Amino acid sequence: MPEGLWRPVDSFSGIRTHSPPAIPVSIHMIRLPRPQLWWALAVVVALGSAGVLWAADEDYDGDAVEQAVIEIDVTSQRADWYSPWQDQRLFQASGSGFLIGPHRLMTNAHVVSDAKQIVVRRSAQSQVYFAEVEYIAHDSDLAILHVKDVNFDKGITPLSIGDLPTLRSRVRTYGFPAGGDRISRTEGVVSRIQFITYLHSGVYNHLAVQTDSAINPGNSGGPVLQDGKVVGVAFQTNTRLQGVGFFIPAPVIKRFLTDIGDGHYDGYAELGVSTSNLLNPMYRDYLGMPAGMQGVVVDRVLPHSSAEGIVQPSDVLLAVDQYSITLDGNIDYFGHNLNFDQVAEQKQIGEPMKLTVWRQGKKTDLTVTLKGLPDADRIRNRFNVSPSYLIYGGLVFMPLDQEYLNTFGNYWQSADKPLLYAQFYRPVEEPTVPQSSVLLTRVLPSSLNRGYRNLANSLVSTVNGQKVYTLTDLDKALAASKGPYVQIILQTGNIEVVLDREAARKAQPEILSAYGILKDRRLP
Amino acid sequence: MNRTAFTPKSVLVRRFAGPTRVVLLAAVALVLAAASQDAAAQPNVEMSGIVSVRVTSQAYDPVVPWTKAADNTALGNALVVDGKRLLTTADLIKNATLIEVRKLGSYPDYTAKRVLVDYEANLALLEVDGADFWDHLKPLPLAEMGELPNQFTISRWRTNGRFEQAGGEMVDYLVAPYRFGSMELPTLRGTTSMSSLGWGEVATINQKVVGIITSHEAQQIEAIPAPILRTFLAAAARAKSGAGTRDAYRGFAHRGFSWERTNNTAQRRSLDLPENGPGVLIRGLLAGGTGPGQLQVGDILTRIGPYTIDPEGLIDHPQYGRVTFTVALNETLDDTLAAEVLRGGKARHIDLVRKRFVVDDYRITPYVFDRKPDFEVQGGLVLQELSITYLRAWGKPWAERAPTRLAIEATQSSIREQDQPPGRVVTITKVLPDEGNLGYDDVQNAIVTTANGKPVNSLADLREALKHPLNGFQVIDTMPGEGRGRLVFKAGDLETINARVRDRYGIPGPLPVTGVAVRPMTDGAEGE
Repeated sequence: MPEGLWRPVDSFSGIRTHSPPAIPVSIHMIRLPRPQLWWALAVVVALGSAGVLWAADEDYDGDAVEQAVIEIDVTSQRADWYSPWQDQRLFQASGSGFLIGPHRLMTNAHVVSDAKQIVVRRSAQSQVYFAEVEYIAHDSDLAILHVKDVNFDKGITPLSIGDLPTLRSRVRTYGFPAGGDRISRTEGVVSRIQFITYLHSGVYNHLAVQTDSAINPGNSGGPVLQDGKVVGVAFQTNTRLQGVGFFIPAPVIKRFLTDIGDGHYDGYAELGVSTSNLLNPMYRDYLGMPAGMQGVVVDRVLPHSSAEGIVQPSDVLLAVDQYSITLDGNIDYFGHNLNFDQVAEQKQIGEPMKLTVWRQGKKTDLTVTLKGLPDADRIRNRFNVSPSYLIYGGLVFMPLDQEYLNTFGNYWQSADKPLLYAQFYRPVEEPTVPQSSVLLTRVLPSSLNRGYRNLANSLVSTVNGQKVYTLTDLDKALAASKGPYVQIILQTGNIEVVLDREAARKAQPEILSAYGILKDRRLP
Repeated sequence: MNRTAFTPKSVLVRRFAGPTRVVLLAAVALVLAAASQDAAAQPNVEMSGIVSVRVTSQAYDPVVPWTKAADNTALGNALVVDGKRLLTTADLIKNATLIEVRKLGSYPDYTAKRVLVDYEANLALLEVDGADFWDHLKPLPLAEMGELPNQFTISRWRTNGRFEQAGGEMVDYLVAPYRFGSMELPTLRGTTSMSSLGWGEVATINQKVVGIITSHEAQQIEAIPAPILRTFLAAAARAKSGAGTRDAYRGFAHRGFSWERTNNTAQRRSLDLPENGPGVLIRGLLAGGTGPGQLQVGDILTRIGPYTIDPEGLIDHPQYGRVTFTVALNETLDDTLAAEVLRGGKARHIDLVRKRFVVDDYRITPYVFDRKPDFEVQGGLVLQELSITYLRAWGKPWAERAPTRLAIEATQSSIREQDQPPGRVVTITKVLPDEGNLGYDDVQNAIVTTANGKPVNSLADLREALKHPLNGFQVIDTMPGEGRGRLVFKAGDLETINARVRDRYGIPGPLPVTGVAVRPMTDGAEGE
């Protein structure tokens, strides 16, 4: 078998827009369904004991810290992207959080996503309080909860945010792993600082810190402290590595807090270029770079991105703001060797960012105004939203997006190949060609659609000869039908679907009733 | 699919060489006599109509195509046919380095050679060195597939010289592509309790062959049915006698179009078709095969030969029962088949000439057997034209395990459509690390789009483009989205890099490092 079954995915300025998502089995969210609680607890007890044996400096009030760490129990319900008119079953999970201000808790976005009810509780106390999400950042997996009852945090001092910890420095992780009602504290060292994919969204790469401090299900959202300050929020593990957890570091937390300073979360800014290293001297010679010049070459510029119209393919990115870029795309960021994406990471949407590029044999200074990730809803996991759909004659239409692909299970490769192409490759290979995102997901059998029941997972090309690109286009085209028939052409196999327009109108209530569907549509 | 591994040298051969051979032959004679006595009550002629085949094979490694993978030995069976030839599956003898056959389960072994192989029909004809081999062998007749009972007998020789027979039950016929290629032919499907089948075992009814078994999984078997065997043998015989050249064999026809059912009431009305009438809708034409030039997109194909096509595309076939109509188009080549279509609302009679696919009708080579894959090594990049054989190397199911972009290309665009120019998909299958390709290790399995600004739709295109460097540089661009977009080498340094890579990785051949197609696929069939 060929080697390298999995290889590095396309690096796209901090996001993974055009390569299939990581295989979820390798890394998992720390989210514990109740039935697994006791099994997980046994594991945690052992790991927790090991941590306590390791003495760490105690130059701050440990009790005060522990009082600020809060257990969070959440009842959530996800939308169902296979049957978009209904929700999935209720799901219960527990996580951790910490007091960050008056009546305000910080936790992971994935702990409270799609929440129907959030209950918080202080360590070793039976009193519970209800909380609600005040801000949520799915791209950086952070959230702020507001607890209505002002008595909740009496006597607790909010924790303050520190800085990016240094490599090999010691950290403590606090939380309620396995949902136990007593706080757990483990200790470890910072073993690696790097960009990784934040799996909650599935596409965003941000800075993360790897530690051997035990991070287990239920730790999610709990603080990681150093010298009495929060240097991170526990959020992910990697099941291929033993005794390793990841936390969201202070710079990411601070950026989130800055973003919501105006009362609204805007999200991450992205440059929107795809680059390759210039380690090969022959490529540097081809680009006419003088000896000693370093940088990375731009392969592509993402349409509608910050860089569009400013940066060009074959430009060599030499510097971002005051940071020089190495041949493999890194910068020296306060003593840390990090990807140059880190500069845009720390900025807000709308801020300027300076670029120095090598273009056609000379240095050129450019300035981009940073924008968010274009087309984000199509490529990331989505939460707290209900999917769009339209049902016509028993044919279920939805937009093709990552959440629909998620319905194929953990292995995206099992999805139909035309869908994978449309989702991951076509937007890159034909970025300027308008493409349909309207998907016939399945057919609800009725006498009307006899002959079409095996049709599924095919993009719609035209309706009555009119090209459709969005669900709204489809709705308009169907509404504009005048003749006796509605003709729908599907891209896969160039299949023609013809329905009797009047019969479809009459059958619609019966089809909806038969399948327990209250409304035939939810348009974007 | 379960397939029988074959030990390199059977116990029988080791124990009964030399003088013991006489005793063994006597024993065989006794066995035959016993069989003959049995035959008085229940004649068993399968033993003399089937031989065992031992195949030693060695394929080229699809990833590093100048090397051969480990050799492999498999045991199968072959059917004795007229003309002192053996008929077996092409799958069994692919990449064979040695084919040995044995009759009646006993020593000696004879060396066989391939006469004709049609991988798309999954059939191969063998000839045997040694005139005495045919003594005591008698061709098994092919069954006329009229009204047949549901039960059949499966016969095979095992590695230990034992002849085995077991019952099987017919399920149905399926019209679908065989193991290699895209040609749709009928497959006999059945069940049996016999284990480890799929290597040319023979199914008979009343001592007449109804099929050669090609696969076996969980008691379900698939076999190439007798009519296909008969057509293949007839084509082979014509090729042998006609013009005295084996190249005359051109195999089976291909439908060459895509079609759609018309089994929805509204759809039928919109096409002005009667509620219960026949016909399927022609939706697209391929570059080769029967469709292009004879049918048109939008035609309603209502009748093919003597068969009326129902709205679901099924016909009542006298041999196969209710099967997809394309079986009538694909079975025979070159002859004319009367068809009826509705074109523009008017009924038309068309004499369809059944045509086959040729190699250029594919964008993705369906198989690379018996030859070294064509390849190019430049700057440590191993470049090949994408083939299904390469994708299969990723393991089952290759469509999920192979690199996604390549799998998409192979599953969605493997066959050229009518207006699509000929071309192949050139991929970088491996990067052999060298200081010359420093930083380029992320392009493995990327699709090459251009070289020095010129489109690359074949290795020939690539080779030609590399003759014209851009300002002293060789510039190769790949499809966006799969690693880096561009690779650059200094044209003057490339020869040095190639020599170093060739030396370091043991790649044979002079510079430029180029693989040579020993025998390219020619119209799907190969003769020797």
